[in-house]
Amino acid sequence: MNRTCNSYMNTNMRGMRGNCTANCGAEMPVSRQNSCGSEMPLSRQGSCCSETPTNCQATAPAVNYRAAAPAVQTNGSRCSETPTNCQTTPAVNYRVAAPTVQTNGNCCNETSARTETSCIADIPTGSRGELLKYIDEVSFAAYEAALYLDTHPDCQNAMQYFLAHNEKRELALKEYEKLYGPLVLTQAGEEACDCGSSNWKWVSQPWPWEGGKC
Amino acid sequence: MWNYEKRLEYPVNITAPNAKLAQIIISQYGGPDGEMGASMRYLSQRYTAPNRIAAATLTDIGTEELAHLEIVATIIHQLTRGLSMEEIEKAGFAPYYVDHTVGIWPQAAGGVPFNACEFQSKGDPITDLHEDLAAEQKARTTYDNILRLVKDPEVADPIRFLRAREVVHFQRFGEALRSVQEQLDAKNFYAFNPSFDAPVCCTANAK
Repeated sequence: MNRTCNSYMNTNMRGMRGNCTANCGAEMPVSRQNSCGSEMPLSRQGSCCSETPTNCQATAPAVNYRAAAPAVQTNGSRCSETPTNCQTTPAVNYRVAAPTVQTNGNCCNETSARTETSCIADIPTGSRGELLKYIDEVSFAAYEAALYLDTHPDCQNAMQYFLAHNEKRELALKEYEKLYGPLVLTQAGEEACDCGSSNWKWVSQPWPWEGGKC
Repeated sequence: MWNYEKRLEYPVNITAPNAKLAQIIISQYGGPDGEMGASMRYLSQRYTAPNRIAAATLTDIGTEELAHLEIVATIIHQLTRGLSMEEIEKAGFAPYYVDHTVGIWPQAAGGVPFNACEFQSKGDPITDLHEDLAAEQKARTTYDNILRLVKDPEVADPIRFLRAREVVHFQRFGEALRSVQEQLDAKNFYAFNPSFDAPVCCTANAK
């Protein structure tokens, strides 16, 4: 039986060893499709997402957010990236193409797109929904990296990934508070109220479960 | 301590109420393999974690489960918002309605109230982490089952996100278990209970 299994089964979990295909990340059971595209209906089998390089432990990207995982081999060295020639970096994570050039002048490539703040998509200036979506995405990327760091506290790639995305998150949260009101009480600043008109925005702005048909 | 962020970890926007679905999905709120049990389990187990890798993992995943609890509650709330009495009766929702109206109350789809018997905190890290691995699989299966019953894409979308997260958590707990085992005698993992017999706070990579 060709068992598809997640990389956890490659570890010394007694009694549960099995023949595992090395290039299946933990994402395997989730995305039951052949290409890393949209979800197919539930089926028992599926082939691996080819974006996970062999021998590289990757965190399992969530189906919808596709937060790109830091790609680190088990021996600690980085998985090789394909240097680009300042081509537009396709946005794996966000719908907007990421900037092609870092602040220091270097091209954004597969690796720096994950670890350099200036290679992460810019904070959108459109609607409130767009800004909140951006916050959701960049916060998720940071939190996912934080979970990965819980069990890999020595992974520098993951640390850089976390710091880059968290920096964007902090900026985006400040921007949101300036425009609409605070999302985090402990970081609420002067923008948290229309203080002249006695409006404490934490209370008066919408609450997260009010979506859908209201 | 805990902070609250005034946003969902994943958006929920359901425009069509459906009391039948709500009764099923409520199992992921207060059911045996639901998010309330998951968060209470991990957040309770973390105090006797034998190393900081396990403590951090239990804390951060437990916290994320609280965020998932919020998503599930939002789904149920939006599925029961604005129901007419006729819809309530036709969907067989009357028994829940009489005790809770359309309030959110933690119970399983079959009516069993949430209770601490639905999780363990055994105080032995190998035991606890195995329980956590199983818990994530149970949750995944529950979401699989829910997805076979859901036709509305607005409902299926956040459910699919939650299901994907269970798989990731499973991965992390496996790594945490490995980190605990690495600090034990490979010839006899069960020689003693590191949480009870050697309750020293170790640094993450200390032998």
